Amino acid sequence: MVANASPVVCATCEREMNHHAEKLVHPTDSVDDGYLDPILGGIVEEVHACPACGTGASRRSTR
Amino acid sequence: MPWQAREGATRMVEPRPLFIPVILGTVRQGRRSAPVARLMVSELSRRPGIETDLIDVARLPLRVDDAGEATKDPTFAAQMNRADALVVVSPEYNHGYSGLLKHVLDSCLREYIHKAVGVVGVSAGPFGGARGIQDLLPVLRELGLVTIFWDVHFATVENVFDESGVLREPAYLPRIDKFLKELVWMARTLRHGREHIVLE
Repeated sequence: MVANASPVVCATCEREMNHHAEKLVHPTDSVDDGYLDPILGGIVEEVHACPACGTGASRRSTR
Repeated sequence: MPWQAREGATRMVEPRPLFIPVILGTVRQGRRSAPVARLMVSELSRRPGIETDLIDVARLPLRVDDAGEATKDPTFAAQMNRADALVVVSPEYNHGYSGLLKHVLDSCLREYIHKAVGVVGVSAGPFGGARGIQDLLPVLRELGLVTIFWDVHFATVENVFDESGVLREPAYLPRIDKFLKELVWMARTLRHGREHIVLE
């Protein structure tokens, strides 16, 4: 898999967000199959927060 | 006015107020949890540097022909995204929490992660919702919330408030104070972590 090298940018204030968590999730939608981590047994969701305005964001991890 | 630590302690100025909404977790007619939730909103509102709101699950337009994030309500999701902590007012029904509260909580996920939560139990009986709280705690953990070690237990709630919803037993106020102090501390700490401490 290709690592998520690019930072997440806040949609509100355009500042680079802080990657503070990864959560294992189990979506039922087959469109997410490409993100499935066979070792962890699910999909890893990256969670980010903006240090300026606090806005949260997330994306599927490809690490 | 921004919050500041007391003299001599580590000084910390919050750039924006904490947002700590109160979720009223029941739709039952004549629910005794409503004055409890209003009291929690009132006690939060009195604290400097904190904004709050009452989120009534009975007023959320969530569909019930699906479950999980497929039912997400944009307004509720935005409130959860903005929140730094949650107060969940959870009456005990048959030794558990209400089904609709679970349905509402399940509609979000990433919005909760690394945020604090405290639970206020309510019951007509003598245990103050303690059994419902114990059932709810593992759910909150799986949602990514961080539970605090204080609860508030409103036992025999029909005796705690008068007919107009005014608190009759002032002994609850110092209990709520301890609960909120811990919740606010955790909210501040987790906000700092979310926004500044990188996951290694």
